[in-house]
Amino acid sequence: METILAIKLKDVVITLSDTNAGRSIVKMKDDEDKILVLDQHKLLLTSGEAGDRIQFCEYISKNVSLYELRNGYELTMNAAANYIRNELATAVRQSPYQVNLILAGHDSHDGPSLYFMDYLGSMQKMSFTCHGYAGYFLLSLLDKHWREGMSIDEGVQLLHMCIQELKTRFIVNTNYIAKAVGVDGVRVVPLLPAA
Amino acid sequence: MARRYDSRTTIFSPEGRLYQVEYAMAAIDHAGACVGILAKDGVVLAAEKKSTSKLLENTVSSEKMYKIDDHLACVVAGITADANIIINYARLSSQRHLYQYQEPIPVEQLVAQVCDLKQGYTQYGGLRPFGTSFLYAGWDVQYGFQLYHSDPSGNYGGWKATAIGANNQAAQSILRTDYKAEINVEDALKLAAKVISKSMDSVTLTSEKLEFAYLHRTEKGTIVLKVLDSATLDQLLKDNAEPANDTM
Repeated sequence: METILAIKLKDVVITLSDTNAGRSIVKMKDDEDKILVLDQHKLLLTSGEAGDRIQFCEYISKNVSLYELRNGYELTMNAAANYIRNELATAVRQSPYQVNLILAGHDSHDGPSLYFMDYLGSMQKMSFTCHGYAGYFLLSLLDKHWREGMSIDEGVQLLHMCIQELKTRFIVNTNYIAKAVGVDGVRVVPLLPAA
Repeated sequence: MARRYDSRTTIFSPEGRLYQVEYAMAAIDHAGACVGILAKDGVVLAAEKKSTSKLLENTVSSEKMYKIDDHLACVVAGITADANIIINYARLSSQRHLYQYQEPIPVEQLVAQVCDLKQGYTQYGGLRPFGTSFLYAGWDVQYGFQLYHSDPSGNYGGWKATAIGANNQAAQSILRTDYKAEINVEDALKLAAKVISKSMDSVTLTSEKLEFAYLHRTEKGTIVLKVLDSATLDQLLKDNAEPANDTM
């Protein structure tokens, strides 16, 4: 199962995702970008069933854009998260979207924030979180090293610690992509090349 | 000769007018006056009640003033029965938004949704338009306090101060001269009292015939609609109202 994780720092949220795209034992693609840019201040990290992932996320992405075009301002993080959760929860009792998500972003109301969501429509606002097998390896690491108000350098350092842990103990060997979102928008975070 | 083109809402006249919509707006000019004033720390709404009787149980239902949500209220001019349908729709819209986004609906979005409903009745269905205009007072995190006016055509606009219903032109001209930007709620109430007293039909100026309310933010940060009780309102009118019909 794919690795996606997000960590809230003082001014930004940094996010990490693996770049594998495969079926069964075959790795079809090793540069897949799973961190979708929803709008200038929001990232949606997605993992799950192949078709559902793209379908659901594009649907969300276009509706988020529509809101901004209609009203002249972006959705707040809280509104966007609840909107997405509502879509998942409505579908779950008919034909569930098998996607697990992390919404990471920034707004003037809450500063940097991130929301964990799963395919059943549960949601939690968190300081750091991950989906997939990564959690087994990384949650304890993050528990130990995360503090309130970390700088971006400290955050990137923590990210590399996470990657190193997965490289050491996780059976799947893959590349990673990292993005950060803050008040100035979204940017790709350069990661050190694989050891 | 206009009569041939005015019986159905869904057709234009040769001059490009929608007569039914215009007739609806004319109906509202006979309704009780309503005044709205945007202050820097709140919004004031005032209305003249047309039906007053000692037998009316006016603590149960209001004729003019309605709360749509915790952060949104409106005042009605026109056919009350039509207004009830729209108020119900507005309340539903507001809760639908709250359900989906877990946030109060921004004021303009609510107004736009109500207006889209009203516009539908001018273009298809063959039904007559709603015979009501509204003044909406609300607060949202995006634009703070706001005042909007909507009419039967489905058109709406944002206002600093405006009046609808009977004698609204007279009321508007007073507002044009007396309204100052950066006015606060206290002064806006006084101005509303002055304006509505001048546009009322009856000579007697008591709280029985009027409803005054203002939307404001408490120290805790919650938005509250405060309806003036009759004692406060009577005092406000005593201090600020000016007798009508002094020109004629």
